[in-house]
Amino acid sequence: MSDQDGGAVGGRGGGSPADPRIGLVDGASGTNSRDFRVVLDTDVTVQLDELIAVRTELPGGANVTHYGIVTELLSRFEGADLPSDTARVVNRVMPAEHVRLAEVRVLRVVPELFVAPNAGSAAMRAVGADRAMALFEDEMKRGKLPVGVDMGGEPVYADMRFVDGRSGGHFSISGISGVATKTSYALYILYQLLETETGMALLGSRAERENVRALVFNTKGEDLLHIDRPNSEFPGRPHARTQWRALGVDNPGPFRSVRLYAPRRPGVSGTVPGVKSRDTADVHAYGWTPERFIRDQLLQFCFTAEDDRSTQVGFIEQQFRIQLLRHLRRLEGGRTGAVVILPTVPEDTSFDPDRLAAKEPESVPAGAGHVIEDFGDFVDFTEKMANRDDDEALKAWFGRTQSGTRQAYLRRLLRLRKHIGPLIGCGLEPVSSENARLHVVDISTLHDDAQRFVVGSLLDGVWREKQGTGRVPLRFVVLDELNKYAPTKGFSPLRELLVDIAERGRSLGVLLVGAQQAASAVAPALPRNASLKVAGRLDASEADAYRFLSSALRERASRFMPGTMVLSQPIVPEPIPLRFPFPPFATNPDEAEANETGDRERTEAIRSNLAAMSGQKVEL
Amino acid sequence: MNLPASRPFIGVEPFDVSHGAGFRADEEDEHTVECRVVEDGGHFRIHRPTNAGPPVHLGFVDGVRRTEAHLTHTGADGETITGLAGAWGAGAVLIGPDGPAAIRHAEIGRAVIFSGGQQVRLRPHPGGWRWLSLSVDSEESHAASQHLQRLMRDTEADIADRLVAEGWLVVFDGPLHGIRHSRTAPVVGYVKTHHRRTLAVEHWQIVPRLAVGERTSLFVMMDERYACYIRVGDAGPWAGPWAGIVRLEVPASSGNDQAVATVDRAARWLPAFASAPHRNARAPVNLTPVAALEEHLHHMLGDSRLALRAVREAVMQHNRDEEAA
Repeated sequence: MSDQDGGAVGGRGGGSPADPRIGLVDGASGTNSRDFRVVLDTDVTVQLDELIAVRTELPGGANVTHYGIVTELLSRFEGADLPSDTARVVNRVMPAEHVRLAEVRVLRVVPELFVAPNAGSAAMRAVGADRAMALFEDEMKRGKLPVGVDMGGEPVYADMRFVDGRSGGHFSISGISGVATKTSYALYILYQLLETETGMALLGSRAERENVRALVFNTKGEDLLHIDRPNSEFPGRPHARTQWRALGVDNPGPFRSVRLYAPRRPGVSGTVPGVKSRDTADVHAYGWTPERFIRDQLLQFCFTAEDDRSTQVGFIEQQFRIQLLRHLRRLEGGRTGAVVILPTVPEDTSFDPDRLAAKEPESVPAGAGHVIEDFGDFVDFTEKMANRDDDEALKAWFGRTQSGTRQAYLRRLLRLRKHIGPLIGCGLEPVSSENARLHVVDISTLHDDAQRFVVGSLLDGVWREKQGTGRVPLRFVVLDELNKYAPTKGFSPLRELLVDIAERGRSLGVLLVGAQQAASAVAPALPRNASLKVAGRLDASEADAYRFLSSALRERASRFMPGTMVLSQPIVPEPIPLRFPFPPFATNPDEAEANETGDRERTEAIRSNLAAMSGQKVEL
Repeated sequence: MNLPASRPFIGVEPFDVSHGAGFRADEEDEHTVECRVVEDGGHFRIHRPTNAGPPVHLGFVDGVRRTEAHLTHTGADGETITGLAGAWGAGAVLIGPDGPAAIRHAEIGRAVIFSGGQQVRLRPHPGGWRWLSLSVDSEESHAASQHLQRLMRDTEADIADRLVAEGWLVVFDGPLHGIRHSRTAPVVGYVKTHHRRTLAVEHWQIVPRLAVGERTSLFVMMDERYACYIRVGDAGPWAGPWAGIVRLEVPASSGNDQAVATVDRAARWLPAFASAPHRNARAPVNLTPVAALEEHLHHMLGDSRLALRAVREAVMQHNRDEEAA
């Protein structure tokens, strides 16, 4: 009788792996090549971020498959057109069809034809090979790094070419402090790269991967000084183990190849690291000798505050730095790294800082000039020079600057004495790239000026070391609070260095894993050059800086729970929300604490065994 | 409440004017009949059936129809007769023991109907339109249209019969005379428009005193149907006295007791389904599920402009075929 009866929908298998159908592509609102809706079958449940495949037969018989991601879900009573109709439907006065729709954004069309999926086509969950196609895994021919699991617990990969600098590099991680889990995510990435077989295999040949290094700055408490210990909360989270397994890691544990660094204890002249939550024997004190300070030209990183470069201070620093290099001599018989600044040098001494720095200084006795053994000596020397009544010397060391400018320079330096002082001294070693793959440098106890000094000095070291060596072996640098080091506006040597690394670092194998609360507060070149953009919980007012997210995803990101991130990578046109597993390594002293007891017990056992064997007391 | 007043007053018809007036029973109407009261010992009373739980196994049946094109057929002798292409649909809203109210058994049909016994077969249109080929012997201009109406009523009756057989209390939108088989089963005709006076004047004047949910005594119409009036909803303080009142009809053959039980049930349940004035142009008497069903059926009939285009194309094809033959 009827030719237009709508076929009944429903009674399907429910989108199980055996029958992945979830519904039909909506023909009422229509489709386009970018997005479409799926009218869900009655017995099917679909969540946000699920991957969908729709096969369409084109006129002429060719087949295309649209792969998409569910970006929104809708539910309504079809037939109810006033809000008050809802009660009528619920009270069974008014008949209405309960329809549920999934909004899908197209990720990929295979083969690459710019067509819309046919209205009425069956939509399926993209599982197995379909899922891999949807996420471009077939395009990741040069390796893929597991960067998290999707909402369904399946692994999501990043194209290794965009991680290791071949086609791109740098991670930019954004999100509100405390809930965005930025540092945890950065560590997760490092763990995958440095501590898993899959990760290491992605890092190149044997020699290349053996020499990969990562530099992590610890900016909060002594949290990251424990990542070489098991996380005591990990065993209580069986789900985390499942997630790790999905990511290809069967036995997650603490970082194994780690060296820890902290500034030496304030007020102590030796090399005892200032740490509270760890044994000082486990941590190395770091710093620079006066000779390194001068020859590595670290003076420039003393003046990185916002107003330093808007004045003549920068000019004096440059002048003074070169003169220091020209007048530099080693102290004869002195402690390691002590120097003497000669009052005069031959006229023909070069003014090229790089050539001067490369030259091994000769040794002279203490009486030959001003001896510098620590930062205080250096400040004293500067003060002495600034107050000299010798126009020629003043011109040489301070340029043609007014006395007021010199005093301003001096004032700034005096202020730094307390902050940078502990970092400069004889016998101190900066962070070395030897002995371990992961180097954690604690800067949490330092003043802002000193933090910038350390970051600048260490990054400059890495950068200089990598000039001319090519891309491999790779250097990863994890730095939180990027806005402090490379703010949106202004000029400082540190900011310029970071911008330089962002722009050229990937070809030189220096890869930044940067994190910030708000991308808008960071020099635009940094997030712009990051191939992998990750966002955790975002500040709703910050939406503008996150154009790589769709507006719906931006809004969602302002409600993300800890552990949920969204990743944008170049080859996948839509950002993919993902989660990463709870760390098997301690990420703060509390998580390591329980284990410390275990450590002590073990140590005690070894001690007593040794004592029993040797019959005498053994110091461990 | 719109009680008959001791002094004159003016009321506003609740129906939207496009639907005409709900109350058309002028005092001087020549069709007036005075039916016999068969309940309460012949006394005309007002009953308030007591509430007994939410409705279950309640079904509403209704249909729609539409003339999609007027046609002519001109014979070789030059004689022209008229016809139409039209569509109809019918279905039911079921309030089951649980779950939401649901539209079921919805079906539509499409036909070409000529008067004067002329039968014209149109080829199915590739867009999915197809027509039954029907004719009526009468040559009156309304004959084809009446036949379309009958097709709709037959479909409604089929659905109602099926539901009744399954044990549903069926509320049939319109008078009961279309129901053929369910002589004894619980089926209720639901009449919204009052075309003529059906009761003696003294009884007739009592009807507007009904409050919402109350019914009058049963009376017998044409010996085949029992009927009573109920007020299903309040049409507002501006409305006339008969606004909100409908007539329920049940088959007389079901017997007095069965008839009373059926109208009591209906009177208890129906006020809950009365429509709201902002929702419906014939509120409150056009019941919410029925209005939704009509909308659904109209939707199923498809776009009327597409239907007209399909008829034109099919007719063109038909004429080409005839020429070729």
